Amino acid sequence: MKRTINIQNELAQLSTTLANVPYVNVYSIPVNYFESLPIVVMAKLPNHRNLGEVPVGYFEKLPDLVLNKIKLSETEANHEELPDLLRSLQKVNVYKVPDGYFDSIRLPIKEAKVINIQKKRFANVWKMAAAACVISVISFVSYKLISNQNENKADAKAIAAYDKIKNLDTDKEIEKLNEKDVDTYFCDAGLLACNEVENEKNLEDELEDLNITNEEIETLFETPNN
Amino acid sequence: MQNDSELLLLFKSPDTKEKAFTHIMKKYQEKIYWHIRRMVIDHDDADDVVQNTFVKAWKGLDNFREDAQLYTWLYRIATNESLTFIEQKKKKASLSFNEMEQGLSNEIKASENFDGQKAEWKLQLAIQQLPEKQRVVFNLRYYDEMPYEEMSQVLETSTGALKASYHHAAKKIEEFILNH
Repeated sequence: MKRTINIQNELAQLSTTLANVPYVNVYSIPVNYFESLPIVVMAKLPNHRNLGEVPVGYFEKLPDLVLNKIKLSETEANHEELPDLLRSLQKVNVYKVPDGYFDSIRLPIKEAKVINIQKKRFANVWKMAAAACVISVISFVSYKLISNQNENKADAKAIAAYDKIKNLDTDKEIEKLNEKDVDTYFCDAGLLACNEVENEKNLEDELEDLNITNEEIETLFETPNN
Repeated sequence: MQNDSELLLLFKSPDTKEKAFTHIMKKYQEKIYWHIRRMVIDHDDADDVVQNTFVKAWKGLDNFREDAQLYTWLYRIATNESLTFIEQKKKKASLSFNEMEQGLSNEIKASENFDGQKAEWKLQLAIQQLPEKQRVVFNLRYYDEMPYEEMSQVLETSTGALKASYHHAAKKIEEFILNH
């Protein structure tokens, strides 16, 4: 505790003994007494609201109050993180703006969007048509995919047959065939006249029927030297 | 913190009345408390008196005409409440003035850290020997350093009488300290 000079001087004139007494507070008080005193007094006031009552409009204002407190506490927390030099600086806006600047700003006003109800109906029809096209495309693509699968199956059979064939020894297989089957094949393939094959067959049969020997055939075919 | 005029204006509005009064309390509660405590000595007694003081202030603030400082008005209420308390205590215990003084001295001696050899504790004992109004004058000048003009508004006494009262009080205290 510190006494002002004029009071100290007055005291010194009145009594040096009193002027030399230490200027201290000898009485103590409970901790946090002054923090709780207003609350205690307010509770004793006449017409004070009961604890159960809430001020009118309290809950409407409460969210804003809480948000403001949160922002304030965040600002204070951020502020505490600043170095001492920055904290000591005053927050002043050093930049200037021309007079009437903000008054002259005019935001473009967009015209209200008018939605035509009939267009909406027509739009619905288009939507249905588009949906039908999509379904058609999907169906066609699905059909193609399935048919390709079948072809792939047929191809798979042919490939299997070819694999079987390419592993065969062709010379041995040909020896197994008889002349009659070969002739028939060539006839079917159009590589040999089918009549010659038949006639050749018949001549041999006729010759066998005539019982003509080879010696007699050789005689028939000798040319006279007369 | 807002000045007294602003607080009094806020007090007049029902929406801000309690908030304004809380601000007034926080501004003056310590000064008012210690002024009362030096009169009644005991903390619990001082607590009762200070609460009564502020409740009375709440009731009377609507009629406060601002012809004096707010804090001198509060001091006046506190002084009256303290003197009323002491008077009632005396009547309850059927004590004489001397017996009352002895009672207060005993309460000082019962205080925490009391040391009768130290000058500051002797001062407290000496103050309790003074008549009640003289005690108030001495405390307001010595501890609160209140100008005589303001003290005149608190005690509704002329400044000359207050100066004389303070001088007499100083002399009596000096004599007590020197003799004890």
